[in-house]
This record gives sequence, structure tokens and C-alpha cells, in this order.
Amino acid sequence: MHIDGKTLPARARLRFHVCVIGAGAAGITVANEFPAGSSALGLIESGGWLPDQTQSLYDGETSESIPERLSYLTASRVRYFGGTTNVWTGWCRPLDESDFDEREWVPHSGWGMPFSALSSYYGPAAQICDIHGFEYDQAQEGHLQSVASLGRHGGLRTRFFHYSPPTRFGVKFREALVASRNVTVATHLNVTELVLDPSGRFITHVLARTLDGNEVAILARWFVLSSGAIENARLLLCSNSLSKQGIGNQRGLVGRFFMEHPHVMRGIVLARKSDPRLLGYRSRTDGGPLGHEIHGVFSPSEEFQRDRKTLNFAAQIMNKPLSPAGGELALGRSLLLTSGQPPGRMVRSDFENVGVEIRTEQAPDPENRVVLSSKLDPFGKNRAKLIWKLNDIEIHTLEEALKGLSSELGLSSLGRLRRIPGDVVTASENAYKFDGARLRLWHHHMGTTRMSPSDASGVVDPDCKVHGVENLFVAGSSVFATSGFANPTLTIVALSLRLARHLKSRIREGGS
Amino acid sequence: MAPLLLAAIIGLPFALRYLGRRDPEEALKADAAALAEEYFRLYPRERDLNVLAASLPLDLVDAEIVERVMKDYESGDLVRLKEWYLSRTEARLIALLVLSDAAQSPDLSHTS
Repeated sequence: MHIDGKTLPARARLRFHVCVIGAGAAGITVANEFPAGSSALGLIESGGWLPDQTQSLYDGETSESIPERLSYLTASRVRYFGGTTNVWTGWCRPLDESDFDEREWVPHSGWGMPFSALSSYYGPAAQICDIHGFEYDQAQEGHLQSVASLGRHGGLRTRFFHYSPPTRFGVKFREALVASRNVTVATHLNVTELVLDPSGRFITHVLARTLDGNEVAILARWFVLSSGAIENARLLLCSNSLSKQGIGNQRGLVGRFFMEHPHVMRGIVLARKSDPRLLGYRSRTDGGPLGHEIHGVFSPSEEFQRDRKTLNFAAQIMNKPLSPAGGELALGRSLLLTSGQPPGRMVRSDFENVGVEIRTEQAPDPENRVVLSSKLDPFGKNRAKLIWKLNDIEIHTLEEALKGLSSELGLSSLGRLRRIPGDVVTASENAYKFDGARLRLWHHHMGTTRMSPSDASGVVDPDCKVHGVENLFVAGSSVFATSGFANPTLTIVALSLRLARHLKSRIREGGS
Repeated sequence: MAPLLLAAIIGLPFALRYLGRRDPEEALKADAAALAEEYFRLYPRERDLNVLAASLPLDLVDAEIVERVMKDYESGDLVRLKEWYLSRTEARLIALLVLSDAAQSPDLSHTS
């Protein structure tokens, strides 16, 4: 069933058993897990089926160190049915097992649950994202051995991204959800506040407004907040009628530990032109029996990270050739000889320079956070303000990544690596000027309602329930305790499947 | 014969055997010169053919040199020259090429 919020009468009341706030990858995945005959579920979406003026509700404030700061909050998010899956590029891979562990050189690391608690959900998540034949890095042992045989030296290993078509969740699942007898998709309803009962332990209802001012109350027994990391935090902070600090924020943790995936083109590889061994790393490659395309990157082993005190990262060889950097002949000869080939008569055009982009995990930093801006939205609610900066450990990781990659390239006789000179800059206009490497962000928002078994260090518990509130759960990347280097969508879907399963068991146990 | 010139006579073919033809192109020499100059800036003591020859025996065959290069990459014994990450052995070979070539230039060959 579908309800357009704009058609509801003034002060309407909607009643469901489960209310899911936000129809992106997380919310749609949760809703899909409640089949016909099960609990009545409301899937509440701020926007409509297509982009409209609702997008402007994402506007807010950002700190100066955020790249492209003036447009970041609106350019990095999509506010209509399907959410940011309407624009994502389909890169999929799970977080690494070690991303879930505590690492003594990374403060605030550790999820409080092991990878094994989530691993069984990645296969079904991949199916939802239309990635079949789910076998991740094992693929390199088979069909792709010849094009992905690197990553055995220097502490680096080959890891693969697998490409979803990309799946547009709003397109793929809209018809079935609208046709479902127990799911009501309500569009153009902007949730403005979650309302607690006087004890502060139960959400009784949420308030939602249409852009033309109509207010609607949505009552439910269970609530799932799945509006994205920035909006999840903003809504919890704005819901301050009972307690000034908001909901789930008794320890001041809501909004904190915001993480992105900073990436920068930090190096140039000199390689033999069209070296076939680089094929699987330079561009999307046919995955053969997998039935979808894949793309190899280099990432560090756990030992590398531990020994060099780095975060996780991925080094990607770019496909576009760059201008000569100088040194090609001297180094090219060395490259050929170490690979067992006589250089013969060698010219510069025998070689090419290609860029290396490094994406780093971001360390959980409580000072990277979402707070309430003094600017108000059309409903009189505070907009979001994002405070973010890069830290020394990320800079250190970028440098160690280059060193590790240079060893890999040297030992494989694949190439020689040149670092793009200068510091990493966050405000340079020209990405390829060799006076500094321009940082960019991937528009991956993570961590603002982080997971921890203890409310002293997290907002949600390992079941994604908000500490201190019995019937409120959070779905999506805001529960990530660490970010890894992998794009978050596949993990968002896996976590949402796990959450839905837990919620259904709670309902069956008599939590109705 | 002066030790310096002797080292140059032996060292230049040795370096060229690894890095280039017996008569190197000017482009190769220019490439090597910029990198070598950076190496000498970082390690001024090695701006000396005798010192370089002591760390890189001139009787090594190609396979032994390649093995040393690989060991450098494996152990992380790298130097950064003009932002290039190179094996220390590679860097020394480039330095050796440049020093040897300079030692054989006409204005030096009359020294004894």
C-alpha cells in the first residue's frame, strides 16, 4: 500500500506495529523482511518516488576542513525513495574480519561483536545487491589468477570489489512493497521528532510533517531509524522534548565518531606499457563464472597494520595514463632487468605512468561529529552541522601505504612508485597539480550512533537497539564502530538483515 | 693509475651493464643525474666512487645484483629519490653510473 503524505488530512494519525523511518538501503531491506501476514509495517520516506524540493532539507553547516564543504551535505545524500542507492556506483565487498577487532594502536576501535556475528548475512546481502556467485577474495585463486596474481609481497594482498549493476533499491523493490498487504509505504512525510513516554524508555510515536505544514503522528510498537548517519544523529538530537540532550544521548555520544572514506591520488606507478598483470587492478574486469565485474585493489595484512600502526586501506591503480615524471629510463631498465627481461633498445614510450589512489579507513574520532546547527529547517528544527577533519593516523596510513605498495611493485617487478610531492591538501582546486595531493571524500557516512555493548562507549548495542530505549533500533552505517576501507552498502544491507531477524524474534517472543 | 680513475673505469661498465648499454643515451644519463644528485644530498659520504664500490662489490654479476635489489624491497631498505621509492641497491647503481661517467670526463682524466 502507498500513502502520499501530502494527501493526508490535517493531524492524521497512522498506526503500525513496526515503523521504519527512511527508505534507503537499510530501511527497504528491513521492510522486505516482513512478509505478508506478518506485522503491519510502515516505511516512512521523506521524499517521493523522484527527486524534489525535499532534497533541500539536507542543507546545513560544515566545518572548513571538509572538501567541497559548501555542497557536501546535499551532494553526498539523496532524499527520495531508495535513498543514496539511487546514485551509488555498486562497489561491494564486506568489511574485513579485523575491522571488527580492537586494535591497540587505533583508539575506540572494536565493534563489541565479532565479524562472525555478521558474516552469514553477507551472502544474502550480496544477492539483494544482485551479486551472484558470492565468493569474494577466493576468486583470485580461480578465473582471475592471471590478472590478479599480485598482492603477495610487502605485506599487501589483493582484495576484490565486486560490482552490483548497481541495484537501485527504490526501483527494484517499490512495486513489491507497495503491493504488499502488510507494508505501507508513506512518502512525503518528514519525521521531525521521536517522542518518548514519561519514563524515557519507550518511543510512543513519531511526529512527521509535510512541506506544506501538515503534521502527522505515527504510532507503533517498534521503531527503526534508518535515515542515514547524519540524519539519524540529527533526529535523535532534535528529539529533545523530554530530555535536552536528545534520545540515546545520555553519554553525549550521539553524533560523535563520524567517519568518511578519505581518498587521494598519492602516487604514480611507472610500469611497462599495458602490462597484463595490471589488468585486473586498473579497471573493471570480467569476473568470468562469477557473472559480474570485479576490480582488484591492494590492501594491508593485519600484520602490516599492526607492525606499522596503520589503519586499513586500499590502494587502487588508476587506468588513465599520466605525463612523464622523469627518471623513466633509468628506472625502466632496472624494472626490466629485475623481471628477467633484457632491456635492449629502450625508449620512454615503452613505459607509462599511472596514478595510484589510496583510500584509507578513518579512525573513530569523537571530535568528528554531527551536532545541531543554529540554522533551522522549514519545520523549525535544527539542521545538522558536520564537524570533520583528517587526523595524523590517516596521514601516516597514506604514507605507509605507498611504502608497502612500492615493495609490492618492486618484488613483483611490476613497476616503480613515485610519491606525488607535497602534503595532502583538503582545499586545493586542482586534483592533479603536483604541489600537493587533493583529498576527496567518498560520501560514505558512518559512525554517528556507533555500536558497543556498553552505553559508555556506544549508542546502540550489538543488536542495534538504542541503549536505554526498549523499542528503538537503528539500521544503517551510523552503527558502524569502525569504517574499514570497503564501501558501506553491502554491510548496511547485511546489518539490516540481521536487525530484521532480531526484531522478528523479539516480536515472536511476545514483544507485541 | 689513480684509484679514483680505476674505480671509474671498472664502475662505469658495471653500472651500465645493469642500467644501460655500453654507450648510454644522453636521456638515460640525464635521468640518472637528477636521481643521483638527490642520493648524494641525502648520503653525502657516498659521493665517492671508492665508498660506493665498498658497499656494492664491482664483481657482482647481474643475477646477484637483481637478488640484492629484491632483498632491499623485501626488507624495506628503500630510499626516496625525487619522490621515487627505490631499492638502496638501485639508488647506489644510479649514483655509481653518474660518478663513473663524471670521473671519465676529459677534465678529470688528467689527474693522477
